[in-house]
Formats: sequence, structure tokens, C-alpha cells
Amino acid sequence: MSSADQRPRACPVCGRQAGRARDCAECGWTLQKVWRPGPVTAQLREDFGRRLSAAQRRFDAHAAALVSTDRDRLTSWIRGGRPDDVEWVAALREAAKAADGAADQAPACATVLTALRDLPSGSEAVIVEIGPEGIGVTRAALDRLGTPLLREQPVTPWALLVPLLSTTEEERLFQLAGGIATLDRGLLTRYLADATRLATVPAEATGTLVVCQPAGWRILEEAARHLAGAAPHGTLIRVAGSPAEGNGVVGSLRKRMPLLRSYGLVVATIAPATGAISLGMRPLFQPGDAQGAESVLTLRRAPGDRDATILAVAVEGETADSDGTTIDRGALNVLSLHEMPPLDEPVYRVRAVLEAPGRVRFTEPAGITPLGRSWPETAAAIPRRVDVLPGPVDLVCALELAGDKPQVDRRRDLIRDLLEHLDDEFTDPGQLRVGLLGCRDHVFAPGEERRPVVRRQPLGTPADALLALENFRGTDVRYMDAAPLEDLLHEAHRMLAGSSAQGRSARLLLVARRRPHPRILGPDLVQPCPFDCDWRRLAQGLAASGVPVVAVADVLSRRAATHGFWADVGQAGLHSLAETSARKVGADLGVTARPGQRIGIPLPA
Amino acid sequence: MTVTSGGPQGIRALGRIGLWGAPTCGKTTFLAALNIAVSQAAAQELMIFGVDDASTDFLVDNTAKLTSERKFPAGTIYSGNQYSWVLRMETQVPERRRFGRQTMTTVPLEMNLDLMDEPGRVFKDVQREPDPAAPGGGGQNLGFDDDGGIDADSDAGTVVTEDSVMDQLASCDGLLLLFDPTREWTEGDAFNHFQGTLLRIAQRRMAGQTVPGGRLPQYVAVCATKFDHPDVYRRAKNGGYRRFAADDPAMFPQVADELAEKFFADLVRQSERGNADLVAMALRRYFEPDRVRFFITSAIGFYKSRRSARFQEADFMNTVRQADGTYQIRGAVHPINVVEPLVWLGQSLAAR
Repeated sequence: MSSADQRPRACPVCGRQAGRARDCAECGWTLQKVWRPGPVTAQLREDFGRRLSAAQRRFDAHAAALVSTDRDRLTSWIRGGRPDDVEWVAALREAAKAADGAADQAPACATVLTALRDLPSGSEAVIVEIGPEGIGVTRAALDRLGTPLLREQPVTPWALLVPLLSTTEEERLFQLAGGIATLDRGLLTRYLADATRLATVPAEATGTLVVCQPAGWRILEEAARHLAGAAPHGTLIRVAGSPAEGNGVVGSLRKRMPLLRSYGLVVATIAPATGAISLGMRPLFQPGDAQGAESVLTLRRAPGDRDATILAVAVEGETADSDGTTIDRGALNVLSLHEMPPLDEPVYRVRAVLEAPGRVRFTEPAGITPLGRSWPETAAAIPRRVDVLPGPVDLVCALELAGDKPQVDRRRDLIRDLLEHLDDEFTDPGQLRVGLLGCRDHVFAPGEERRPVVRRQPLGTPADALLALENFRGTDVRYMDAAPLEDLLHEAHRMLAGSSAQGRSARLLLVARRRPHPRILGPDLVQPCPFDCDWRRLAQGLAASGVPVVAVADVLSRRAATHGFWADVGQAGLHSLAETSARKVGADLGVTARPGQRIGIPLPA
Repeated sequence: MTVTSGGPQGIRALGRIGLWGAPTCGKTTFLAALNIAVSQAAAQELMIFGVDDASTDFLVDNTAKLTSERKFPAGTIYSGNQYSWVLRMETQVPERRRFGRQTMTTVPLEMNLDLMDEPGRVFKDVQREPDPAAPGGGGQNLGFDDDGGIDADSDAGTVVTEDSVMDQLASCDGLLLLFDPTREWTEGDAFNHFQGTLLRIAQRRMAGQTVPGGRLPQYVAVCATKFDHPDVYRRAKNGGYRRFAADDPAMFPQVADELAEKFFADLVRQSERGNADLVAMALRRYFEPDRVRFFITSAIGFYKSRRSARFQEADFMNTVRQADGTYQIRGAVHPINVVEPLVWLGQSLAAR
């Protein structure tokens, strides 16, 4: 006697233990009839066989239709052969009916997320996913930023949970869906009833969500029912259709979850008066934004700062005051850091895509990559104060035009380099206005002393100043011991007098070789300025008006660097022409970033 | 300078006056400024004119150089020229009346001023080659280098010899001694130039004299030049010597004659290089003290802008260094104490 023969009698259609009932309680197949007189004819056998095959085919087709709408996919496991059209349509209808009451994927996710959102702080729930691959257990909670924290355990495959299932995937899917007629139903029932074998639910879990997907699959539904019943505060969620990803909803939970709190990009703001750096946020995503949401921000970099920029995505919260200025940069809730390659454009757009809560990707400009660095480390590198000006600037470049042509050309070259650099860096009209002043020598001769010696180009665009510079040509030295630098200071003072009232910072660059004329004849016997200009008073006036002066001398002796005119005037920066550059001068003027003062994060446009 | 004998009816002829000074002390510039000074003098009767074409040309050319070209006369080259001008003036002289009474009478004077346009080098006690690196004495010379540009070879062909110059000076009745304090500060060679000439004059005038204690008979007007130089002016100002003449609307500074000798002493005392203090001592020793008088002079004077009615303390330097390193006169020429020494000499000689 075979083992099969030792098993209790089973329904030939659904495999359920038959018992003594006349009809199968599950599939309704007539198990016993009253005896009828007469022999069992071939015709009778054939009729019986045909009816049994049809019943078996109907039973198996139902399972096959649950797995796939493709009639031929699982035909080989359908007893009674390939269903005809009518039978298959009926099977599909029955399959759909089996999933009645099940939720679609999105609402199911929403239900799960709602359950997670309602979790008391610090507690966690367990999500038991019963799917085609097996049973998975995930411990779920929300972090303080509202981002799901999902700790998934590996899915236990059905082959381990119910060893009597087929090792062939297609057949096992057929069985999971309900093609169980050939299985030992009693043994199967015992396996499925043993919840602790199926999944281990932590005792400290606040709730258990049992997710059955796809709904209607017989073994899955039965296991889910047992687990939901066995878990404390268990909730059964039936989800129609196959999982979009993985074994259930958890795979897509992160993507589907809407934001609970706003995300922003960390930007730096420069205080106009002090240059102090404070951090603020520019909004990227709002609560409710979900996967795929996009945000575009217009930002800028400090002029001259052409190094890589770090984009820091942070969660807005209590660390920012009402105007978005961060009080404590270290307390920012930074989600992720990204490195943006150096850009030529001083003003640029970034486009961010919300991939999932806690996951933002930048798609514009190209080349932005995740940065493996901590926010505290990044924040520590942001200077507390910078010299570069945040707002609109008026710059006057004043130069001595007298001297040897090569030397005058070197002075002009420095200014030209600076203006070209600034023209590239300041693309906003009006952000930078540049004026030019050039002086020729005073001529100490009757009738000539009172002739104007300063040529001027009014404040305008850097491009206009560049054009005008070409006409600031060199002149002969007419007086050896001094140049009318005091007249340059006087004119610069006049040109920049209105800047402050217009909300503009003012800066002066002076490039020259000689000292200025004194106001009165001194021991050095240098002729006083015929216009009675007093360079000391003018320099003090410029300083009092908040106009820093950067001075570049053709030759700068050690003594001149610490005493006298050059030291007094060049308070914001003092350079020797041969040893300086447009970038150094620009940094001292505060119109371009100083190399040692890289802000490293974007500025608001 | 020499005195012509004879002259217009009633005009008194006076003795000879010689010019004496170290290189770069401003002798040529002084003479060039004389015409301007005479023109600007308050006394209407004061006038100067040449006795021959060469002297007139010298006056015209060098006056134009100062006023039109705003340049200093070129350094004296061994031209060997002898110039002669007549300086006419009026002065009061004592006149003996009856019963031995004396009264002061205004009389016209006419001094014929003869100049052998001599380079200052002749007056050195030891012949030295000039330092090419420091023309005119170097330092802050401010352009009074009228004896610059002399080279050793230029002695060749000159008609002027040291003997002839010394003979001329020794025969003078009055001497105009020019002393450049700025040169003394930088070179310290005033006494060297002075003593050699002094001894040669003494040799010529005193040889054969038997009267013990006898001194040289000349009147000496000692002129400290370059009063307009900022360093000289500041020392006058800081030392309390500076005065402003009440009748000068431009209020140009000056040093009163009664303070001039003391200021001269202060100037030479501030030189750390030379022995110029010996000059004053030697003058007192070799000449009658009442025949030596000091003047603080300036050939070009101080700068005054046309916009300004008077001298400006903040901006008074009347020379400008040009890009090529030379100096040019900046504004109008206002000689200070250029005529006055000659007037004093004339008055003194007339009163003999």
C-alpha cells in the first residue's frame, strides 16, 4: 500500500479531505451517491471522467487565473487540460472575485503610512508581508525628520516555510494561488496554522500590520489570516495584484510616502555691514510632496568663487528663526550633502527631484554627486565672516597716467585684468558699477598750475569702463617728486559720495608710482597741490564714508608699506604692482571672494 | 665791479666793488636778478644800465632767462668777459657847513659796477676737480648751480687767471661776498674758498704796510643767499629772524639787517661739515668791523600764486624740479635784498 493510499480519502477536485460527506464542502464535488442498479458502463465511466476533468480544470484554472491572465502560462499544471474560452473567462472572473475587498497598492501604502504616522514617538510597528516570494518581517518607525525607518529582515521563502510546496517557481506560484489539489491538505493546513513558524513578531511592537498580497491567493490568504489573528493588535491588509517591487508594499513604501516636513536647501547670507555669515534655507519641498516632485531654485555663488559648491538638503524646523536664518548652524537637520562642480555662471539654477522621503537628487546643473562628508565637518569649514560684499558695489579705479609707457601699461593691465574678471563675475546689471580716474602731472608753471589734471569716466558697467580704459593713455612726467594722487582721491570721493545713499557699497583702487603732493610744503620739498587738496584729509574722509581703499604701488619699499602715504591710504590692501594680481586686488576690494574665505555653499540669488 | 671816473655834472663817482663767492653760491643768478630788483625797487631814482653792449646783453639775456624762460643762468664759463654797469641812485651824505657843522645832503651817486664774470672755482684755496655726481654741490641745491658744468679742460684757453681775478678783487673798494648756506650744509667748504682769497687780497693790499693793527680797507657786504630755500627759510622762521615788511603788500618774508649777522652765525653753526664760523671771525679780523655788513638775500624770491594776494606759508617754493632733474623757476621773480647790499656799499663809499 503506497503512502498515497494511506492518506485519508480526498476530494478528487480540490484535494480536501473527503470524510463521509456526500459532497465536498469546498468545491461541491459529489463524493458519494446512492447506489444505482446496473453495471458501470464505459459510457458512464466516460461521462464521469469528463465531469471530473471539467471540475478539476475549473478548480485549477481559478488558481492559474489568479497568478496570470495568460491562459497558457500555467496550463501544464491544470488538470483536465487547457481551459476553453468560456472556462478561462469564468476563471478570470472568479479570480477577480477572490480579491474582493482588497485594496489597491496606493491606498494600501497610505493605510500603512497612516498607521506609521500615528505611531507614538519612539515606538515601532511590525509589517508582516505575505507575498509570492515568502513572508517578510519589517520593523518600521519614523525618524525625527518624518522619514520612514524601515528595517527589513530577509524574506523567508515559501520553500522553507511550507516544504511540501513545489521547488519549481511557476508551479509554486500555482500552488500558492490555490492549485493545492495535489498537496497533502492536512499537512498544508498544519503548516499554515503555525504562526510562530511563519513569522516572528517582536513582543515590543506597538502594532502588527499583516499585508497579504496578492489578495485572493489561497495559501497567502490563509497564512495572513493566521498571522493577523495571532499577532497582538494585528491588522490584516489585503492588497490586490502583485507587488510592484519586492515581496509587498514595503519595497515601494519609501517612494510612495509623502513628506511630513518641509525640505530646504541650506544657503549662506552675508551681512552687508560686517560680512558675517549666517545660514538660511530656501524651500525645496513642502509637506505632502511625494516621489517625483521637482523643485527649482535660482542661486548664486560669491564672485570669484569658482570652486565646487556643496548643496546641503535640510529639514526645516526649530533651528531656524522666522526669517529663515539659522541660529545654530550645527543644529541643522541636514539630510544629505551633494557636491556641485565649479560653475562659470555666477547665477545658476538647481533642479531637485524628490526620490523618496529623505532622498533628494539634483538633476541640474549636470554633474552633482552625493558627498560623503558629514554636515558638522562641512559647517565647520564655512567661515564666520567674509570680506566679499553681498550687495551692489560701486568701484572707482584710479591710476597715475604719467611715466614710462611700459610702466603705465602695467598699471592699466592690472585694472584691465580686474575689470575683465569682474565683467565675468557680475552679470546682473547694476550689481557692479565701475568708474575710472586717471591723472597727469601738475605743471608748476605760470598759467598751468590750475589746469585740471584728472580724467574721469563716470560710474557705469565694467564693459564701459573697459572701453574707456583704452583712452586713458600715458603722459609724460612733468614733475618728478609727486603725482596728483590727492586730486584722484578728491575726485574718487566725489564719485562715490552718493553710493551709500543708494544702498551701494563703495570701493576705491589706486594704482600709482609716486606719492601725492602735500597740502603744504614740507621738509621733503615736494610742491603742494595747486588745488589745495589734502590727501590725509581725503583719505580719512573716504575711510569715514566707509570707502575702503586698496593701493597698488609700482614699487613698494618696506618702509612705504608701514609709513606714510601708501600705508595710510591702502588700509584695505597694499600691493606691489609686480607682485599682485587682479584676483588679489579683487579680494582685497571685497568684490571677489578671498581664497581663504570660501563659503562653499550657495548664496541666495 | 669798477667805478668809472667822472660822470654827469654833479654826480659823485665812487670806488670799485668786487664779487666774491664759492662755486654754486649764486653769483651769476644774483647779477641776473639785479635788473629785476632795480626795477622793483621802491626808490624811483634807482636805475641800472650797461656801459657797453656786452654788459647790456648780459643783463638782458639773463633777466630774460629768469623771467621768460624761468631758468637759471648757465654756470659761469671761463669767458674772460668783463662787464660793467652803472648803478645810479640817490643817497644822503654828510656835508660840512660853516663853523664845522655837518648836515645831511641828498646827492646823486653813480657806481660803475664792473664784473669779471668769474667762476667760483677761482676762489678756492686749493684747486679741486668738481664732483660730477654732485653738480652745484649736490643735495637740495634747487638750481642755483651757476658754476656748474666746469671741467678741468676748460682752463685751457681762458684769458682769466687767478692772479688777474685776485688783483681785481684786491683793488676793489667794496666787496660783495656771497655765501650759500645750503652748500655749506652739504659741502662744508665755505671757509676753504674764503680763506685763500682773503689771504691773497691781504697779500696784495697789505704788503709793505707798516702800521700795526692795520686792516684791509674794503667795505664788505656779506650776502647769505638762497633765503627762499625752504631749509633756510624755515631756520629763519623757527629762529625768530623772519620779518614781514609793513610796506610790502605781498608780505614776502625777510630778515632785518640788524638780525642778519646773527642769523648768518646760526646758519653756519648748523653746518656739521665745515668751519664757516671762521668766516665771520676772519672778516672781523681782516676788515674794519664797521665796514662789514650782513644781508640775507634771495635772487628769485618766494613763490606767490596769482590767485593769492600775498605770500603763502604753505606753498612758497619758487623752484620746481623737472623730470630731467633740472630746476626751473616756478613763478614770478621777486628778488630779496639784491639791491640793498649794493646800495649800502654805495652809501658807505660815498660817506668816506
